[in-house]
Amino acid sequence: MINNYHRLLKRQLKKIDLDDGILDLIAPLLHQVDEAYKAYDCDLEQVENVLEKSSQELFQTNQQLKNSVESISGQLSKVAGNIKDVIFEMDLNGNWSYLNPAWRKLTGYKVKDCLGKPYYQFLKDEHGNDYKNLIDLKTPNFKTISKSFKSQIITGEYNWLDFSLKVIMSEDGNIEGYIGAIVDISKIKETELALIEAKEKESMANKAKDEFLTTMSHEIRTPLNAVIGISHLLLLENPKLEQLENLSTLKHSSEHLLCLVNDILDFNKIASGQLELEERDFSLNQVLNGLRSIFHNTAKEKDIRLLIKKDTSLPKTFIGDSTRLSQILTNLVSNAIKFTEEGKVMVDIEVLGVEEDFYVLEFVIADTGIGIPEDKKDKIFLSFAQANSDTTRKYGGTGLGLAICKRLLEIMDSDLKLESQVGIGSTFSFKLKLQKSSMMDYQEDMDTFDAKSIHDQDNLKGARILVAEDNKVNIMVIEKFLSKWQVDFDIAENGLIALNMAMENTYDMILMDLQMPVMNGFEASKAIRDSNNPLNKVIPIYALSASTGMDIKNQLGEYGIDGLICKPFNPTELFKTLTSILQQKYIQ
Amino acid sequence: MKIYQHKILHLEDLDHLDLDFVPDVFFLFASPTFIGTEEFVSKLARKFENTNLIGCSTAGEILGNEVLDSTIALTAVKFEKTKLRIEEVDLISCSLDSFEAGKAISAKLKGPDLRHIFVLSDGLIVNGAELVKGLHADLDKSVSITGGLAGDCSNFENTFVISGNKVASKKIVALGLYGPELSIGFASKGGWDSFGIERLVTKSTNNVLYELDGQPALELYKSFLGDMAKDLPGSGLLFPLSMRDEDNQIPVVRTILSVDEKNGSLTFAGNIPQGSYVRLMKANIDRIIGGAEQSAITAKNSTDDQHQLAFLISCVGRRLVMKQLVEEEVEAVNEVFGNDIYTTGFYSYGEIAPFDKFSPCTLHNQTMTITTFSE
Repeated sequence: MINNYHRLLKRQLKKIDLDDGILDLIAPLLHQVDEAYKAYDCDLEQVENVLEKSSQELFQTNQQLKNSVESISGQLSKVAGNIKDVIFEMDLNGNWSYLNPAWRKLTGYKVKDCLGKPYYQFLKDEHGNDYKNLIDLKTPNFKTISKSFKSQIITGEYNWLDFSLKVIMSEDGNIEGYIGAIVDISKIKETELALIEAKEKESMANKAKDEFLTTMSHEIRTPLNAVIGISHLLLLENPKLEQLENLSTLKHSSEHLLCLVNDILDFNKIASGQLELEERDFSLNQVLNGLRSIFHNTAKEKDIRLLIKKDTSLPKTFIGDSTRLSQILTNLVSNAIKFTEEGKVMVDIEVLGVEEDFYVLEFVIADTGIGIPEDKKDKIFLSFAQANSDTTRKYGGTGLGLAICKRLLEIMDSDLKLESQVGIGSTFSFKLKLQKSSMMDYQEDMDTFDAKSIHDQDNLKGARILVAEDNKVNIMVIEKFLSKWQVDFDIAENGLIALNMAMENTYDMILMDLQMPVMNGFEASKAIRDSNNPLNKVIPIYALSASTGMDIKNQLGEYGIDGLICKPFNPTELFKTLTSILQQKYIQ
Repeated sequence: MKIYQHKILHLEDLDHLDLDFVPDVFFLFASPTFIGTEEFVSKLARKFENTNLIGCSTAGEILGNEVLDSTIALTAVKFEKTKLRIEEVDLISCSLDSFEAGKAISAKLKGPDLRHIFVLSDGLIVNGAELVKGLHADLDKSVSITGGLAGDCSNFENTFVISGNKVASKKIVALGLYGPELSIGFASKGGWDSFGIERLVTKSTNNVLYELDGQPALELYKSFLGDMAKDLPGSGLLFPLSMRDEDNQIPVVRTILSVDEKNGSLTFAGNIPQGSYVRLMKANIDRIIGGAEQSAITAKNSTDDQHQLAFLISCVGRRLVMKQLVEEEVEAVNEVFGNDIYTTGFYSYGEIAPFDKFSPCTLHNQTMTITTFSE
């Protein structure tokens, strides 16, 4: 029995040398001790095995981790080494702690010479000073920084750099350092600067083009004025029958040419963004009556009915740009009549809605004309385009009208809509938001006045008018009309002469060309107003000008000019205008 | 609550029961090596016709401060106000589906004033984790569940449960306790340490583990057992795994039930889901005893009432580690509770309880799980 005991127990029993009797007595105890010793050995052996196995595993795992760390850092350094841009790490004091090889390519400094040194030793401004304030390292209240600047490199040259930096935070929220990138943006900067320059050049070229167009159109209008005026005069002088046809053609062609020049001027103004909309009280009735009087005869000649319908709730006055509205309507109605051989052209104005300060109106211009094919509907709104190339030959027109209408409506926050069927007709429509006006309608008075005066050429008989005009042809034209209307007139060939004549004589009205040698129309008008003659303070002074821009209109008041009469003028219109001016003068 | 305890060493001890009350229930924790268990049970049932019997086979019986072998630890209890009901489910009739078996038991015991379920199950063919899931699947969260899986020394051959007047394998028996007067305490603590690297479960099905980190699990496991590998699955009790997955934020311990040499797999007493992480565990006797003490403290503090009866269900693996010192953990528990408490229980193949009163009920291994009743 004892021989099977654990050797430690056997050794202990041998040493203590007990009697057999006692041994028998304590046999159960010895048995337990033996079991415990053996179990203990077994456990120990087990623990040793576990320790050994675990050590092996930990060693292997550690090895694997090391390998993967090596392979990852190898990959990373390969990536960092092949990137064109600089990648860096920086410690809390702003010293480089890592720079990839791109740093040397960018700056020329060796990476090992830079590590541990502050960044600003290597980033210098145009004066060679350190970029010390690039990062506020003392109180870094940022997460990321991104800056572009010019920096000197080792050769003394400059590079444009895009410098970005990010804070590295530790798990407990403290700043451990910084990581970032530097990108050479010199090429981009160069391109950017070149683009800016090119853009400036282009815009200057555009401006020159616009100016050229404006000037040229303006220059064309002055002689055109003479051509139109003279053709009117010739027609009034009882021409022979065979001359009549030639003269009519001359008149129509010159009017068409004027229309084309006006369209080009307008289009150019819109395209260059120079067009300013007027905000004035106006009578819609007056606009519509004007429309009717312009097209009444044309429609009658073609045996087409021209109908203008108005919503009964339509107010008489609004605030807006009546000139432009009139231009749009004239264009659309002119087109409608032009392309309609039989049937009718209808203008319909409806109130769509009333808001606190605005009316929303819909204008519809419908005709029973040739119509526009589906595939041409978009094309007709393009400049210098008509549905068919032979349309121009057959119907005339500049091809600018619809483009201008569309652009004008776009400026007014509206849109020109078209519905059309070939052989049935076309319908153009647009909606306009027009401000409410508190003004009373004055249109009826004007109408009665017009009706009375238009056929009575005695209205201007004996009126004293001073005309300041330097252009010989224009002088000739205006002389002819004024003589015909039996006006007592004087011609001044420049502003200074006009001023002197105004000082010496008493006139009922002064017509003042604006661009004249010696003294221009503005200065002359101002001088006349400032002169001692008390009559000159109230005398109507009207500018005669081919320039119609808002800027000129706005300037007139400053120089004491009462209004503007556009050149080239329609003789009938001129007569009406002069009559009305004089009439108002007498009323006052 | 009236309690009577007796250590049954022989069949004849039945005649010496000195009961001065008629108990509601006998708790019987029986050693597989006790001779005549079936006879004892049927005689006891006949003698106390109106008393319920519930119990199971053990890997060691606990009675008072003693850890016993080859006995039946008998505890007779008469509750003053708490009502009881015992129900059983045959695992074969549930096609061995432990989840369904758990659900079936809960359904049978469900009632408006059900407070607690004390469950004892066959320890070998049941999947304890599934059983627990099934038990509280349709149950109100206020009903607590504790219990354990039957043991058979450490042979892993045949376990049984006692229900009514019968002793049977492949069954689950459960005691439902009803009424507001019952106060229940419980806790479960281990005291084992995990060691070595964390391993990913790369292949498993329910409670069968095939691969760890892509390596055959059995091979790896055996290498750590060394010489003791030849004593598997019994020696596996010394080497449980600590497992954490998404369901278990606190790692749970999983003990081996069996091994399959053919396909190199290990079968555990609870599920080892694929994608979970496991670490090997080792025991330290002092810390195991400390764990039992901690478990007692938690159970004691889980209710303010004076604890009257405590069931200690401890893992067979702990017993194998502690060997001659096994009673130390029972004594440690009893020291926490003091003298006025009756203690019984057994060494099991799996413990069922929440970690504490704030956790859901789960299956444990290698723990000391304590349930206390008072009213």
